[in-house]
Amino acid sequence: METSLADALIVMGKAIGAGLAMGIGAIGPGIGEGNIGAHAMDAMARQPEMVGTITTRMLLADAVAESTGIYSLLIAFLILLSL
Amino acid sequence: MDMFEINLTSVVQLMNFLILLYVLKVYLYDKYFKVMDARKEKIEGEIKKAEDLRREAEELKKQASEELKSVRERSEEIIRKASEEAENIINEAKKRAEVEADKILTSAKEQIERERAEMISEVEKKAGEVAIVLAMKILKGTLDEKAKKEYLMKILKGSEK
Amino acid sequence: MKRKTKIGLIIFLVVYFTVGIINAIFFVPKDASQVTQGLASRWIVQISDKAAWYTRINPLTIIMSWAIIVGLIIFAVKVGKNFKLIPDRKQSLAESVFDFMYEIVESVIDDPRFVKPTFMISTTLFIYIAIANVLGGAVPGLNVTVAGGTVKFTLFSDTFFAPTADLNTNLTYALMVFVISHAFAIKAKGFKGWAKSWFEPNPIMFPMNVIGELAKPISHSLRLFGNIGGGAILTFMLSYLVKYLFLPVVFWGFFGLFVGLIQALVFAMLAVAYISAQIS
Repeated sequence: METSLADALIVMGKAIGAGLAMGIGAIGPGIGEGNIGAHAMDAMARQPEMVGTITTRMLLADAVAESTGIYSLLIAFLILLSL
Repeated sequence: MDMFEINLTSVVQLMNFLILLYVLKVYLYDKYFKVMDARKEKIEGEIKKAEDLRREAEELKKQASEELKSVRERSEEIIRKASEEAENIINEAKKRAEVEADKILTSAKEQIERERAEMISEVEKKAGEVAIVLAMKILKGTLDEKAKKEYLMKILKGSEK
Repeated sequence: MKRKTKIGLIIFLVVYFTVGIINAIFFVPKDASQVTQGLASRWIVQISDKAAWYTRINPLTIIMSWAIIVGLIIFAVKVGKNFKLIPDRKQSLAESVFDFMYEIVESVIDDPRFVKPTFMISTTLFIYIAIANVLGGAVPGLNVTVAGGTVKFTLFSDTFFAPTADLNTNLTYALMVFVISHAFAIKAKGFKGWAKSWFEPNPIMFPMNVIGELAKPISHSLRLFGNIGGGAILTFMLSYLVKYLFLPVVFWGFFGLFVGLIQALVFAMLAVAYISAQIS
């Protein structure tokens, strides 16, 4: 099967774009969730009787902080699969 | 791009949601609110009942303490009265005893006086008689009977004075 | 668990695993590009000849959401028929969810007039989305892929479709929450107060306010869509990558049960938060 240069360039662009979107987009949520987890651990160490409440709040905050990463995941899929 | 397509499905989903909301409201939420209110009312009623019972108990306690107080007062009064009476009785008895003792004393004194007077009069009488007898013995023969007696009587009267 | 249900579950699992493994060995294409070809596409049916947004429909979304709604309605009618002061098992299940949501709503919404409507909307959203997320992918069965205009049905190669993995559902609900929050704001503050709130703190901020308000439903819907839709794609890809050693349902245990429940709660709580931000 003969592939033209244009097709190859498109595939390359898709791969690079999706990889960059996912890779750079994962930095922010990683840092944010790390911060959330660290402070939740601090709070748990300071007040062990509040572990249940802190854990649920931490998961909720994680889910919100994760959303930018999810957006980049969506964009990556969009580039890779359906564009 | 059909991953991000918006079409008629959204309207259908909105209708679905509204139907679900309506059914859940009729069958669950309204009844849930009603039951919640009923529970709250029940708990409040029970709390109120307990409060009433507590108040009643407090009132009863107050009443009982008041009654106790009055009873104590009355008993104290009774005791006081009784002791007063007892004192009265004792005083009376003492007075009466004193009076009686006085009476006995006076009567005894009177008797003693009377006896003394009697004794004195008797002694006087006897002394008079003895004196007469002695005088008669002494004056025997020197005077006649009548003059003797008059004289003696004069003497006696003089001695009585 | 009763003996009968145990045996039924074991038979079901054995059939599921054997069919899945046979499917993985014989029917799933070996070429990776062939597998991912129809991954992001949806099964869309065009009702009439005219191609417009109001003639196209996603049958899988509607089938799944109707199934979930019918199940929920049956449960609601069964429980609601004899809703007692002292709850039995099913009623206490419903009441524990309601208590949980009511506590959150009551602590967030200041105005007592809007506590009950907000509670109804957010609880319905939570229940519906949670069940869609958990059951949508956990029901194994038909997988519909569209490759090059032809609809292809594959058995057991993917989890079933969750209605929340369709942007239609999420965007509709997010827009509905947006409209409801503004309707409540008009009701709470009056039309003048509501219109004034766009120009706060000063009129220069008006475009920023508009953008901020419009960004709310977009981020609200895309968060759920990304989590569930992306989770579905990741589930499919991961189970393909491990050659169906673990079937998609195993991965859905993470993406559906854990992420799905948290995202459902986040969606409901964000709805409450948006409404409370508008009416206060």
